[in-house]
Amino acid sequence: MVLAGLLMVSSSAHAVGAVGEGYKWMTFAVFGVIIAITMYITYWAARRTHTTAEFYAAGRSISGIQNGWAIAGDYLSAASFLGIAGLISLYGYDGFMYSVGWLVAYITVLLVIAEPCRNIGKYTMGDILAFRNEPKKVKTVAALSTITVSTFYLTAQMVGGAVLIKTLIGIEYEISVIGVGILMLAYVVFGGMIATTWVQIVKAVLLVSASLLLVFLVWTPYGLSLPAFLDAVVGDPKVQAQVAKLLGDSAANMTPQELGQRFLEPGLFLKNPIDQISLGMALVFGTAGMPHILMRFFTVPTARDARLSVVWAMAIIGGFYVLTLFLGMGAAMHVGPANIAAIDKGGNMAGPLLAQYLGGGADTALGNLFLAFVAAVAFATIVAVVAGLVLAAASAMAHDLYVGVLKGDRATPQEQVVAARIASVIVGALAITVGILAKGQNVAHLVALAFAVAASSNLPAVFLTLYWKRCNTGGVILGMLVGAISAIALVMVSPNMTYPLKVKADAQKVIDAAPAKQLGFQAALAALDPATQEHARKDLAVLEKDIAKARDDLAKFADQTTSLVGLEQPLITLKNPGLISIPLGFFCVILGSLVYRDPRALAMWDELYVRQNTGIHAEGSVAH
Amino acid sequence: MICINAVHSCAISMASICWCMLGLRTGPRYTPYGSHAMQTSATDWSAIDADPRFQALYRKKSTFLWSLMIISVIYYFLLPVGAAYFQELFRLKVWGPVNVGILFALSEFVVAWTIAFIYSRRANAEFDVMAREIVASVHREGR
Repeated sequence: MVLAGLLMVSSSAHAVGAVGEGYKWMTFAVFGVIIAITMYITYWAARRTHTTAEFYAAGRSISGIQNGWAIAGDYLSAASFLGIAGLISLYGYDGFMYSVGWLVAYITVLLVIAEPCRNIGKYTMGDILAFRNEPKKVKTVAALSTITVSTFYLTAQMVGGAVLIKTLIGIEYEISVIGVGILMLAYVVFGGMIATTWVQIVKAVLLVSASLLLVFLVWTPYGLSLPAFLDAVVGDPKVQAQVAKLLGDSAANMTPQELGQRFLEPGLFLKNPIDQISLGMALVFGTAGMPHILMRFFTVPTARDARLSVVWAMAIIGGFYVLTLFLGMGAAMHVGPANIAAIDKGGNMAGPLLAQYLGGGADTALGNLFLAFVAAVAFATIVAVVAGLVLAAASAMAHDLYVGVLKGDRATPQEQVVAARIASVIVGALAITVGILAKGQNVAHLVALAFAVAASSNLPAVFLTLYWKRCNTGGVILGMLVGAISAIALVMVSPNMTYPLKVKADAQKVIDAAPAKQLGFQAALAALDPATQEHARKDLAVLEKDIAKARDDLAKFADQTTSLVGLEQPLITLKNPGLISIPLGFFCVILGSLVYRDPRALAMWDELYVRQNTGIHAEGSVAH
Repeated sequence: MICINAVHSCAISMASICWCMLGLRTGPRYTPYGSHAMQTSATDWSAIDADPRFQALYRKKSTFLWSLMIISVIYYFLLPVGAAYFQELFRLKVWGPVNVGILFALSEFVVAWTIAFIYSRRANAEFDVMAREIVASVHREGR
């Protein structure tokens, strides 16, 4: 019954999305409610947004707890909401291990970044760097870096989000890019940071309550016992089949129970520890250098609130990842890795399909209501994260570049707010354009790249400006440029890029192996057992899709032999550049500082150090 | 982190020697970027920096903060290293199907939360109080 329903879902997924045709109105109703709530928030916020401090920093009136929820809403993108549950449902333990770094990253934010930034900062990362370095020079570099990081992250969100919405409810890609873009622009342009903050809070609350409900439903049958729940996962034939498929030949001598247990052990997905350490470094140091996260600390009244907000954010984000373990494992057991991967290879549909199953299945009203709710949460997630990123990029453009560099800080408050709104529209239009242009591109590695650039460029500059007396303008400029450029360059020559020769070789392999496989499946089709027949029919359909894709690849890359930068094969095996580019970024800040002479940076050290530790003269809150 | 800390303290002493030799104390007055130029120019920051209470705050806070940072980074990287090089240990079943690997990954969350809790409790109870005293005396003396 459930399987038949899922088959229906998977067969119709590409045409109309996971939500059944008869239940679409439910999804649109839930979407409508969420849009209405956020629009009311924006209307309410717009009446409270007049000054620059209100537009960029919500008048520093957000409480620590509120900011903690907003950070979680800003940070838990669709990639972590759906992606990590998907990884767990397909690869078990490795997916869960992958989630850990995303939380540990906040230790760095809490211990070294949050409070000093609150004490000496104003609206942007550029303000922190400009405190004792030469303002025009460092603000230019900081703005460029902020816009680069935000654009990478934004592109990944726009493209990933639109694909997701299409898979879930069948809305055309371009329409959802434009829809998300316009909504997010409405929040940012009219409601500034106040609206963005509350949209993020609403989204985080929705996300956490949806996850809690699903985990409650999936875990209660096992008496809320961890071993009993995992016992069921280990004993599930669908999970065992997935492990057998992943292990290939080496699974031949294993019992079903051993195969199931293997799902709870490392090594099914993350094969190279160096890559993991490199990604871990990018996360642990990059999160603290993410402009949209840094910006959140300017919205609270004191350093104590900044501290409280990170503690809350860590509780919410960490709690969410622990819940994800149950969602992913539950989806593996109830929906099955093969069915999840059939709709989306990355596993993004694990959470939504589990919701549908727990509600009663694909042809029940409750099942579709659950699915609609999860789809709406995914939608709110994309809009909230994108709004935070656009605000960060727009503040760099308007506050750092226009007001700070071009106008030499001589802009009236009115001019500043107008500039901020115009910059938001420019960034929003850019996001929509890039989103549409990048249709069909593989953007998954852009998120990792954004973290790597933030970790190699922003963090060394901010960190050493805050904690090293000799740090100065020369170091900040050299370090930020070398850090960012080396991170991007290393990715350009890494295995993340598309190498036509390899793609063609892989495609040829699929086509060469196809006839033998086809024969096997056709033989199974002749079997008397209807279940075997059904299985064979499904396998045949998947195989045909693979062959079609292989042919497409062969045609697409027919006359290409080199990657975007003219390489036949990757120069390095490292997938994430962090391991090389982060130390390089730190080294260049130190080198540049030692070579450059900057008496102001040195003379300002006492003041910076006293103020970041005591909060004397910190930017105060604005009374409403 | 250790090396940066060392560079930091070493650089401070080096820089302060150069500072005196060059006679920079009589050099031009600089103001920070931002809107508080008027306010800050009236405050003698090096006097606060030299204040034993500020020195005590700085020393206590730095030692505490960097120890926590080093512990958390090391503990985090034990996970990928363990998963790659100590697979036999990670496979060891300890509680039904629950193995060492799962417990270790879960412990990462607990350790991160504990560090955050320990830091914020001490910062709220001790560092904030010390900072408030310094701020109060600055205002009192009208520096």
